[in-house]
Amino acid sequence: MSVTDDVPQAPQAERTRDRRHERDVALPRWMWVPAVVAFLVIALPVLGLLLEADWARMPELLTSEAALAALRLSLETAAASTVLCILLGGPLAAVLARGRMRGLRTLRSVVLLPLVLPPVVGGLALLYLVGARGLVGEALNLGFGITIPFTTAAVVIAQTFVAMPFLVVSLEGALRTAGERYEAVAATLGASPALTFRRVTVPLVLPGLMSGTVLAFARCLGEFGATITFAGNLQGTTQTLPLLVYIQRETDDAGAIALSLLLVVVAILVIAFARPRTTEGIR
Amino acid sequence: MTGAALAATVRLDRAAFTLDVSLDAEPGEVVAVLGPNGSGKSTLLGVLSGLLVPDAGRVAVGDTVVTDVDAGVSVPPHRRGVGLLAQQALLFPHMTALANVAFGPRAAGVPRRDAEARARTLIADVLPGLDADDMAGRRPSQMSGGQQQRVALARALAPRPGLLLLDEPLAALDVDATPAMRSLLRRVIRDAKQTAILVTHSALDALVLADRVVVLEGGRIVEQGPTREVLTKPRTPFTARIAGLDLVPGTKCPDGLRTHDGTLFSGRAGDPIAEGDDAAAVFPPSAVSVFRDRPHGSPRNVLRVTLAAIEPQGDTVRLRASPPDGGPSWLEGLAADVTLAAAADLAVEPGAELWFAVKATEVAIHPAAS
Repeated sequence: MSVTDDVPQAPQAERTRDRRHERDVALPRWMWVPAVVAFLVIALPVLGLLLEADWARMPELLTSEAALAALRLSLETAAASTVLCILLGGPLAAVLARGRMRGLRTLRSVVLLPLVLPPVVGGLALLYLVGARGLVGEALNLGFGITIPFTTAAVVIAQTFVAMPFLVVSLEGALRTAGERYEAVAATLGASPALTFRRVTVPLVLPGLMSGTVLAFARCLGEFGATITFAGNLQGTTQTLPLLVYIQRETDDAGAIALSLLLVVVAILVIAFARPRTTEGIR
Repeated sequence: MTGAALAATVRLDRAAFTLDVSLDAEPGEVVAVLGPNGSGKSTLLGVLSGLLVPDAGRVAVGDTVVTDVDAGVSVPPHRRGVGLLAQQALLFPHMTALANVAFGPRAAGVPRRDAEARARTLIADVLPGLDADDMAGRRPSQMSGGQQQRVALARALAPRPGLLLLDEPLAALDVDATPAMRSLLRRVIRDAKQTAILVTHSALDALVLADRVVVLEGGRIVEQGPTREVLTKPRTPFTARIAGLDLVPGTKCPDGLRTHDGTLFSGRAGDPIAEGDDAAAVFPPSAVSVFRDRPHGSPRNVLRVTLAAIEPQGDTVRLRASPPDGGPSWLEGLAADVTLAAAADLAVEPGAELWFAVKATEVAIHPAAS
């Protein structure tokens, strides 16, 4: 019996790597013009920042007390919010992708709300829910003496609110793409749903989970509207980098530009980290 | 629990059809399930594996009742001891072949060392002539389609299922890889007395692998029996087509068979059939002669047909018939095998009018499924 006659298929990468000999058949030449304009719309403002920057004062500007405090707060709250997004949004994505309940479609549209809602509106909504007079806020205050608005916790809640859909959407997409066929096979091999989830589902959607996490983290770092509405702008407690940039712009342009460039660097790092994983899966 | 018996009676209502079947298998028996698309084969496997919940019925694997709708018993798939090998290998892409095969035993609580030892043995068994250690360390993407399907078979066998479900396990393989995989299945399923239900479209698979054949149509069993008998004496057009035979349905009459539109079809009865009973005239496509003009001479059945398709089959060409305008519908799909030279002489295109002739001595009349 021979089993060597059929050769392995070439891996995906090998088939797509060499494009030198291929000819464009679906790219009209005129498209280059708007494409270049679109690219410039994105790239030129960043270039402008670089040109305007006061490089000599950069170290001093970036290490000011307010800047360091804001950077630290931004990183800490963004990390905490991202963890919350994974712990809560992960299961939500699984339910949306795998659940067989009626009404899940409506639920999904609600989940997308923070994506399309102006963040300021989200912040206001949070304020009226968890604020001193709010439905939950009043109960928390009377029952436990806890006040949430204008604390670091409020920053985390606001960021979680706006970033959650990024994680849920990309993870749900990955779960749907992976399908349930591998999970069905795992079940027929004797694996319980919990074991299947851990050994089969999670590894299969890991690229989607990673890119969702990075996107959510980036969204948290950039969050402004909901934060300033719901958490205020107190240095060291709720003043994240974007808030500080906004405030500094009124008094010290150079400082605002320096901090903006810091955010640009962080964003570029995030894209460099997330991109390869979003465009190629395990298979 | 290798080689458990299966006793299943299930009903499941779908929009298109109702699956309503009783299916039994003795320990070590392999039962082939044949049927056209949409006849309920996959639904049946889904119910047996526990991935689908039937509306009524009872399924027992060995001594364990895994489904009993009346008693409210519905054992989840992972506790049934029912394995599945599908058309696609579906090896977990993030694991090596070894981890894939060891997955089932590990899930059952077998210690890693023992599970991997069992997996190594199975991999060596399903991939003879290859370096088993090398193959065990490979990812699915580093294996050919045939190798993946072999490893998938090893993986399905590793937890030692009482019942193994084979869902067209050869359908997605290269032509080159199919015969070897088929004989491997025969060795590890049939010779090893692994109880199995095999869904297939191929008469050859059924002949090589199955003890018994069940034919599903519209969710019901329309025909069943020992493989050879069902395939050589088909009682429905579908079975005949699977078996590569032509079949004309009708009722028994003194000279052979009368079709529902009144045509007399001459033939000889193999089994005794009462006059007027449902019957089927069965003959191999190779017994059909093809003419451009109406033939005369020796007594034979002559049918006017429209050529529907020309299918090359190695040394011969299969001509598929369809009814001419106003002709009887049973002409649909009748096949005639002619040599390449004869086909070239006929020089016809689909749509042409032809005459099919079959000698009465080549036609067997069987009792038919009603």
